[in-house]
Amino acid sequence: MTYTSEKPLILAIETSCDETAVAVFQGFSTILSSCLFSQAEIHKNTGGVVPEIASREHLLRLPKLVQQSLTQAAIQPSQLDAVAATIGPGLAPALLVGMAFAKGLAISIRKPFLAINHIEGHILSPFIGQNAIPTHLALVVSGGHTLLLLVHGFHNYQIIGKTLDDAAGEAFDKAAKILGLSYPGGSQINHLAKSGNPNAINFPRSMLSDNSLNFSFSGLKTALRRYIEKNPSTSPSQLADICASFQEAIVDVLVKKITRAIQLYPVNLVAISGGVAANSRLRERISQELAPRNISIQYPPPNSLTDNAIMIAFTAIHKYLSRFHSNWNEDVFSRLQSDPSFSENLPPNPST
Amino acid sequence: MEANSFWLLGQTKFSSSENETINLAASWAATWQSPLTIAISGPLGAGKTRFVAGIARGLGSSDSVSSPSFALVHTYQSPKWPIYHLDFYRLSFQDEVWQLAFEDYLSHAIVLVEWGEKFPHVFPPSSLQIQITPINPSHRQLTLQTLSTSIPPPSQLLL
Repeated sequence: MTYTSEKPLILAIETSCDETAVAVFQGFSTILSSCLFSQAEIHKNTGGVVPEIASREHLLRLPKLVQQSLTQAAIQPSQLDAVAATIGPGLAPALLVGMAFAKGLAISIRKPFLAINHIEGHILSPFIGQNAIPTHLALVVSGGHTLLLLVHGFHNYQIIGKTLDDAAGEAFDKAAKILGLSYPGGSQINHLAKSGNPNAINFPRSMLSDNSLNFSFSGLKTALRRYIEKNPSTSPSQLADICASFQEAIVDVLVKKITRAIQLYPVNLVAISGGVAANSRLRERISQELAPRNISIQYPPPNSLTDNAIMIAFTAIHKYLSRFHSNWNEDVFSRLQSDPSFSENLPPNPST
Repeated sequence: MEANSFWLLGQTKFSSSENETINLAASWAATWQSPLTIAISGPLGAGKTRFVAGIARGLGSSDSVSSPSFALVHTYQSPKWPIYHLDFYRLSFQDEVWQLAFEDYLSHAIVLVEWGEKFPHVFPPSSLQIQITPINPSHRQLTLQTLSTSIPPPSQLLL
């Protein structure tokens, strides 16, 4: 397998959890197509919060999405320089579908297969279009992950903080369920919070008293549940106050951990990725905190916040042009710690 | 091994803090002689994930335990057995459990399932259940019982 193209054309598949996504990228900056089977629309229609998790669903959707993606990009499979797929972390049966499909396609066109880490995709998503990844502090904050990392350039990541229980996005979604809001919960709470008072209820801010960069959002969820049990009937303005106060507690913790990380590891750039990076209050508070210190903040484009294949394709372009090679026997993994490009170096946590 | 590490079927234990819950689970798990399958039940925020963290620690795992609500399955290594930490919270149909490769985990590993009581019929016979009941913000009542799997309706038996 040769890596001849300077502006490689790569098709990437993402099936790490609920979303089935395919994208075609050329070089560092040209998105030729991006197709996503969005669960959120289905959930809105049914009012449910339960996704179709099934690998069977991925299997049913994937061939159509790949075809659609190639058609939109107006290319033939033989024109591709490589085929990429997310191999972890995620749900193994779901990952297997995307990986097997990508390997099969790559073999059929005699081009390399590139195995991509889902978290690396999120980390690089704020830099889509750029050919160099600067040293920076990264916060990956989504439904499944809450991680603080030092990024020392492409493919060199150091985990310095992570959640000990729930991810921040999960806290939003579970809170929305407790409050009886529709799916997706995070954006609903963000929307309702705009007319509420963030200081109305003093929800707990976990893990702020220790010196670690770890997170914990489970206690906050418990506190909300107890509050709702004590105050079962809420007016629209009270609901807005609850949403604003709950959101403030999460944002407060995220902002303070970022601030602490910057004190420990001085950087001049912070990048925030994942679905929770869409939260307007988080963006507002981060700007207030970092702008006076002359620290820049970078976010992914709106189409690359939640799980998508654009970020997987972009990571694949970087891998291809860095001459990274994935073996045909590459296998899926469910835990981030299995990837050697992620080292873990957590500051001491006195509480454990 | 301390006598109070053991947990009898039907026995209720009390915990006054998150740390105590973790210690209780850890000392219990340290007594295990063979892999167990346990449904971990309790309302949102009861401390189910913390209980699993305790079991993992008791089995000698140094992996960090977090909520698998989104990913549905987390796996941890321990010197004795692999640990599968599942969460049925987001699942709506029993059929979805099989798509997590649930049956593959059962024979050789510790299987800990948050919200497992949602689909009791997927569990093998003699599966256990820990019911966590919040008494107040910090105190929890924890009861060990067999997971009740009443006989499924005939329609399910035929399928």
